Amino acid sequence: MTDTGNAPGQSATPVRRRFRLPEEIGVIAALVVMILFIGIARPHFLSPLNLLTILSHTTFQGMLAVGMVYLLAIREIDLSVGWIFNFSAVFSGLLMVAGLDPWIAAAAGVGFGALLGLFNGIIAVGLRLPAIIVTLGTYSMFQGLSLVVNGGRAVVPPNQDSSYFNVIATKIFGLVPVAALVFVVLAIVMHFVLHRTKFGYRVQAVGSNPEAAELAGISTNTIRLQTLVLMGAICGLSGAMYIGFRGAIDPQEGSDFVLVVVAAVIIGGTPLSGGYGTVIGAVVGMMIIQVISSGLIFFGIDATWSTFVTGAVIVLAVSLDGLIKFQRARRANRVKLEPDPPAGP
Amino acid sequence: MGNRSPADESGYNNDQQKLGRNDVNTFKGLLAATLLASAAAVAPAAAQDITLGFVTHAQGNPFIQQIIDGAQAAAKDLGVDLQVAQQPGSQAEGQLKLTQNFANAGAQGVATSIQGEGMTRGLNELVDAGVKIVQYNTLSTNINAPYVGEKSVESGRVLGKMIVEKLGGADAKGTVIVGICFPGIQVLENRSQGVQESLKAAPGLNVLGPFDVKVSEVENYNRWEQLYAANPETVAMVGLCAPDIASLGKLNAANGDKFVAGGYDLTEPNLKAIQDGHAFVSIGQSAFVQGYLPVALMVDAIKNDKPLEVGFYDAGAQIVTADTVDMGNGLPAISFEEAIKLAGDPAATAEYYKAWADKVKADPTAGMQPIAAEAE
Repeated sequence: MTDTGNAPGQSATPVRRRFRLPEEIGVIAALVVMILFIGIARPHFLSPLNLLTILSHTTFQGMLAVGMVYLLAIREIDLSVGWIFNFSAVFSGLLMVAGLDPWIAAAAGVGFGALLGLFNGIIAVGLRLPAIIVTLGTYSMFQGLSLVVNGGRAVVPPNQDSSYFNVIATKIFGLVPVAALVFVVLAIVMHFVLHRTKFGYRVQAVGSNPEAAELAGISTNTIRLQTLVLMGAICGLSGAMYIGFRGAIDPQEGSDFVLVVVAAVIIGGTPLSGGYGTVIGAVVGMMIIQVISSGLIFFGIDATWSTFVTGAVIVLAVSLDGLIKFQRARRANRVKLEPDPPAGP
Repeated sequence: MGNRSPADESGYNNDQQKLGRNDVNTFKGLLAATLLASAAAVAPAAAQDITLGFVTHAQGNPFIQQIIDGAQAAAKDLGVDLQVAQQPGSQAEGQLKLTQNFANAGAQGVATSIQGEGMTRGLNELVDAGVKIVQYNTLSTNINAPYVGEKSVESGRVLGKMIVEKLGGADAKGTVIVGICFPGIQVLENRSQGVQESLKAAPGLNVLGPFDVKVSEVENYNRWEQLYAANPETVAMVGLCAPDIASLGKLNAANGDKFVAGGYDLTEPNLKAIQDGHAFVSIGQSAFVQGYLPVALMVDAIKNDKPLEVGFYDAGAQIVTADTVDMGNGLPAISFEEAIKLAGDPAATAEYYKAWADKVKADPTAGMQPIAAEAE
């Protein structure tokens, strides 16, 4: 029996030291089940090469998903993320074409993404409009401006032997792309920012109850603005790294990102109702999407079936997550209702 | 260790895994896994030694389906396992991911259309790793792989010339609108260049565009309708992609057939629009060949353990009006009704191409030209 440490005569409140599973356990379980299932049926799926390829496939959209967690946590959605990604990459690429050092051009791309996020934020906060409405418009604005700037053609920076392209495209031990490592580091940092910093607490407070947050002295406008700028900067980072990794940015790249990004965040367990977010869940959600895509090919599933199967597996993964959460909530309620055991001698 | 192939060095070892084998139903109690298992059951059984992937840039598109039909006919003829993946949004990154997934799953070769320069580095890595890559339909000259497609500038010239002739030759006057469904795609830009070169033969023609008319059928029609509303005096509308003729045919029918409509691809809706008199001409780019030849090239390279040389394979142009049907590639003459039948009947198409396919099987690389010939 666990020693509560209570001295005789002290309060009889029991202290149960329970190992608490992370909130994301359901979605992690779904991912593991999928990987194991595919791996058992198709052992080569578990090769380090394939698993790391899946990780690298997760990278660029995954970064956007990490930022989107913060937005969903404050009950907002940015529909323009794909085009901020694209426009930032085009901006970086054109600076490289113009002869600027690629590292500086990439940093400028991140800053440019943040500026686009600031533009979204100023309109959303200034006009008191939901970000989803504002970014519905800026989605097309950024797309159109990007097409004007790139002239409808791919931007291919010259001198791709420079250190920027070499570093970003390098695969450590021949397997792990540096870009994927940056994504992992970003996800870890953003996880801690959300759950261990004042800014993160404020984000969750604003999403949980904006009125209460205001009464507590939190400026919801500032948090909304900061979160949209953060989203833009992350899109810029993803875009700048994409051009380093692939060596080019095409005119339409990123146009279909937003649905995948939002899907990954929701699959990961961040609710649309706000107040809570999980970066780890979003990363796992994006990995689920990539594992399904890869798994369909390993199983040789006919192309005409693959769209249906992709959707159905996502629904089942979310159901599995929901089932686990439901069981945990029920167990927690049962524990609450149990009478306190008598205090030990 | 003995000699290691480039594939071994890269980790892409094609001998370790063949697609479609060893279906195992485990983890039956787990919902997600069960669905994948049931989905796997609908996958075609594979007994061949050679496994190939085929990646397309659209889903539910009749022209793309004709290419897939050609690829599947080749796989059947050559006794190999072919699996198709479709990336619905014409996204370079998405198609590259599917190609890499095929390679990781053990496909010895993958054919893919090219949706942008973002695919270049990743595909060249696969080529270096020993995976046989063939580009079809759209290309990048920076990719170290052969390309099967049309002579894009030349096909544009042919289309433009026919439009000028229909409008009265060098004395033709009026506004001509050109639409492109994917600005920036090299092959489409080349077609546009060819069309505009030919239209210059009639100095009285005022050419507008190319305008972005999108590829989805709904958006495509809407864009053309908007262009016509803004330019009701137009004498001709020219599309560069598969959905255009069907859209232009509907638009012409709704407005009393006032303009000449021309475009690309021999899909059923396009041919129907020509048959009904709402469109004038369609330039086919031999979709069956664009599917068949890449598979034949990959199988040849794999069986003979040789690299695929960078080069251009002309799929051949087809010209169809209500009065004439030229199927290209020295194929037998057919009637307009037969052309419509072929457009929707893969088995009949495979039979029609049988003599051509026999020649290809004997030596798939016979028609190779320098890659620059594509844009001549």
